[in-house]
Amino acid sequence: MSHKTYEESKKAVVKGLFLLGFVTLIEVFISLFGKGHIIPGINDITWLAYPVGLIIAILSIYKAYFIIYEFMHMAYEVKGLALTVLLPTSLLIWALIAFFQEGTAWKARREFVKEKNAKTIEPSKGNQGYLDDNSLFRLQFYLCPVNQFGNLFFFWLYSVVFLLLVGIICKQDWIIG
Amino acid sequence: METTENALHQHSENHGGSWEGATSPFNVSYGKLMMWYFLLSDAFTFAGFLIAYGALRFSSPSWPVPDFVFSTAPFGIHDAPLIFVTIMSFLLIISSVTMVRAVQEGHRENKKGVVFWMLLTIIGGAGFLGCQAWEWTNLIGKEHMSVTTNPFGSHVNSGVYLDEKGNPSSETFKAGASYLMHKSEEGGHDGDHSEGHHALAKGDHPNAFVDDAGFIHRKFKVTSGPNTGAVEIEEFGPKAFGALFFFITGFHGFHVLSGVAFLLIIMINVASGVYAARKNGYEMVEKIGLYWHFVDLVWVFVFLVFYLF
Repeated sequence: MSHKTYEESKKAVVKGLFLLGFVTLIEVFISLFGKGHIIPGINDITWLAYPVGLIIAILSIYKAYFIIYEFMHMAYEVKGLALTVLLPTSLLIWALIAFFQEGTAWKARREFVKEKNAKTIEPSKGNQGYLDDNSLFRLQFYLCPVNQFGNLFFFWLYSVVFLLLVGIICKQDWIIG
Repeated sequence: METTENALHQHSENHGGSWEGATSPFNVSYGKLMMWYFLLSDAFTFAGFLIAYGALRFSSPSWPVPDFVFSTAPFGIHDAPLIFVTIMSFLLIISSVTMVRAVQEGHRENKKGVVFWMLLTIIGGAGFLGCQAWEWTNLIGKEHMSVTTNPFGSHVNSGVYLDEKGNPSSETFKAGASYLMHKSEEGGHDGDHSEGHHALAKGDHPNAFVDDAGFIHRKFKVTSGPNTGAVEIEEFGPKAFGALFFFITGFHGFHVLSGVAFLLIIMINVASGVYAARKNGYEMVEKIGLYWHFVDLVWVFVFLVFYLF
């Protein structure tokens, strides 16, 4: 990107203002829609929370990208600087997803314990089921795609960090500026 | 990018390649680079708080619904879910835009322009703080939410409220519906969630139980779930909600406050010609601009996690 003229820069700022404002309004609208304020009763569809949450999260990340790249001028900085700031931050996105999932797992565990506590135990008549509870939990863990994704993410992350180190060691100019 | 290549070209001419030393890493000044890394560390701090919020929220059996809790605004407006907090977001976005203009004027060494746009930024930031102060005063003073008490709860099962005689009234609710427990012995609420509650004495009543702190726990009959038919009372919502809300918005508000203070100091310095003498394109304005945009960025995510999810 070449340096803009003064007039072009001013226009870009106004464009940025409308972009951010517009995206914010869309986010609020979608959030209120998902909670049933626009069309009453929509929030009875329980799975709707997931796509609504995903859409507003993506819109927020887009706003963050715009603020960082244009307002904070990251687009015009040396690539290496951008990487040293953005790579560690991208770790947080996975941490966020993982801990939200963790919270859900805590709730499921607590409810499982409550449910089991309420039951009475019958004397066993030999093998009563194919899988016992321990094996069930392990199976559920490995079946859940989110848990597999974690391994893949770290593989990607380490590859990027490795490439960055190789670039620095081989003295690539685009990294250090 | 052309800019980087231009800078590199100049560097190779002057210093025989950027790896030969005597250049700034990444081609930026020390102050700017360190501001970036401070912002990175601050991002991790805020992320830690937001992650704690997420984990606790998802692990709770019930959680106050944000569009129920945050539906009031000044001048007696109520039943306007998320509107006031959207206005706060716009205030910060506008102040970010004016900050960009200030930095642009700084690059042109236009002292008057920098002062003008920085002043607008400060006004936007102070406006945001004023709105946040109103929000806190409303939640703490009118709705009696605190770091340890959370009168906003949500029902786990469906039910029907009892009337003054202790019989099921016509007011029903579904599982997941939110409620606010009011305090008795109060005169004239205006424009909040109340619908005109009378002063009730402490202790048991046919339609409610008033605890020692004065909170009115309305009674209801459960109509779904394992406890159907039982008469239960409204309980406090998860304690963590109050603590998390005040701590996270307070921490962010503290950043806005310190940002406004720094903007004020730097604006006064600009006006007195300190940075014009340095002839570096008003880089100090750029650095505080980075901090201000970071504050806006954090608000984008606090807004998302607290109010939109």
